[in-house]
Amino acid sequence: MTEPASRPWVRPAFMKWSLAAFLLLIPVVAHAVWAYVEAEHFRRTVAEIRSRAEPVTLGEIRPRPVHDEGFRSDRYYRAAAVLASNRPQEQSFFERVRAAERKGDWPAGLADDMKRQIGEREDALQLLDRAAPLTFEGFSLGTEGASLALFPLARLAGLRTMSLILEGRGDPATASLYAELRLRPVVEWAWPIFRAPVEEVDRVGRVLSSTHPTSTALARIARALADLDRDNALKQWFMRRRAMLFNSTFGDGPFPRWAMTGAVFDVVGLRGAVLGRFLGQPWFESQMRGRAERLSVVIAALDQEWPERADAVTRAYDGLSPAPNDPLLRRPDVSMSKQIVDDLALVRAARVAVAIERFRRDHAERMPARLDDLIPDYLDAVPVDPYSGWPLLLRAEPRSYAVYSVGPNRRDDNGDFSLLRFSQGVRESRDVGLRIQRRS
Amino acid sequence: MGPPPGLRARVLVPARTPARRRLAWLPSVAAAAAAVAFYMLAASARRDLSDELRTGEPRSEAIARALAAELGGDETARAVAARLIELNEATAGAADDPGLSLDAGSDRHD
Repeated sequence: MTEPASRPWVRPAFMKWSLAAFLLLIPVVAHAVWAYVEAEHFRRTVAEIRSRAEPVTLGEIRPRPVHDEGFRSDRYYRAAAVLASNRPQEQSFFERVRAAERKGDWPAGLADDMKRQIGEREDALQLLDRAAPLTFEGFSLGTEGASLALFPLARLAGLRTMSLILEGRGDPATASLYAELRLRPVVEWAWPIFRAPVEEVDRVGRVLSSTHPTSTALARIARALADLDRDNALKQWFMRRRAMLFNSTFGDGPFPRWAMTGAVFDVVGLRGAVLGRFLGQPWFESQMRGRAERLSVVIAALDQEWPERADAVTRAYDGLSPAPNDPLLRRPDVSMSKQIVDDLALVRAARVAVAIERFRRDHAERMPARLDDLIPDYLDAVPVDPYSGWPLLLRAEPRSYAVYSVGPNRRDDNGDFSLLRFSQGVRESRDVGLRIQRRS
Repeated sequence: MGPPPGLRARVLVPARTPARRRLAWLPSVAAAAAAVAFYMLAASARRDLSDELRTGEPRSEAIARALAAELGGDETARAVAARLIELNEATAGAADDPGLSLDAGSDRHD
């Protein structure tokens, strides 16, 4: 007779199945814990940023308009953008114009073609001119379509300015340039990651060199340029980048939330959208959080003064422990920071050049002896060179003058704007600024 | 009186077996419960983040506001706008169907 105590407590078959179920559930539990830990970690990261009173959403960076005036400019810009929209066959025409602008060589007939293009979109430009002096506070709703159509509008406005410069009509060219400069923050509002108005600033140099606008006309672009001279441009750009990252991870951002994880699982032939979202979510969140934390370190480094701020992004990355995706992320961040500093120097040089021209109009075309002579009538203060921390430099030449920053090599090369090198994908010139041909 | 103790034990042991069998599943049940609990906690954290990090107003409200402005912007216009959106939702599914959106964002001019 078998003793009851020697019988197995649970039959081996049941034991086998329960053990199998338990073993199968272990990875599920691990995934659940991972999901929770990552979500909580992300929440803490966002809370820390909030505790520093920094924006975490694009809505905080680009608020919706509340005043009637802002709403009015929104409507004008949208309508102008719709009317300015170009057709595919015009692409080659714009490329010809850009090439001519770059070389300074205008083939016969191109100027007439430009006029024709402008004439066909006159209504768009009229709306743009109406919107330009109004306060822009953001689009009332929906930015995608309007923002796409803003690019042809900006291009059309640039075309008009160039056409007027070629005709030597100073005041109309300056007025057109004013509308262009005022349009830039609008484009930037719609496209949060966007560069400074380099082409427009280049046209400021062309207007001043090739035409003779009045002091009154110049005063308008002086104001528009002052609005674009943002000392915190670097920090703003990186805060926008971080807000976009948050927005696309958890918010209602413009980028598909699960594109990355979904795509991974699509590749292996599974139901990407569902399975990718479910399984890859914690991994995706950890990636985004890691990126956000690195961006926060970069943003904190940007509180330094010029010129240290100019290299702050590179130094911040140097100080971080290496991450697997660094090669992918460091380069665009560093090159963009270099570009923004360059652009800021250029905008400031343009401000000074416009102030000098206003001074010349009011003083029988005499050049100011020093940049300090422009204060306080034409400038509140001489803008700081982001590469040196000192005021920008002026170099008077027999038939021209140069307003410039010492550039990324931190050396005064006497207004030499030639290429120094390509670094991190950015064209670095010896000095950064504008050379204006003097007209009397 | 009664059956011998050995026989009694052999008869009663199988009757207790289902409880023991159930006990064998306890670790699996606990693991499943833990997984569900952690997934729920994670979902709650994500919901909070999603609420905090979304930029805009609800799309239907944005459409209602734009439509009300187009219709004059007064109280009547707002009521008409709300009614139109209700009708739109009732007949076409959802107000935020891109094909039906009044938002300029759904237009493509390029």
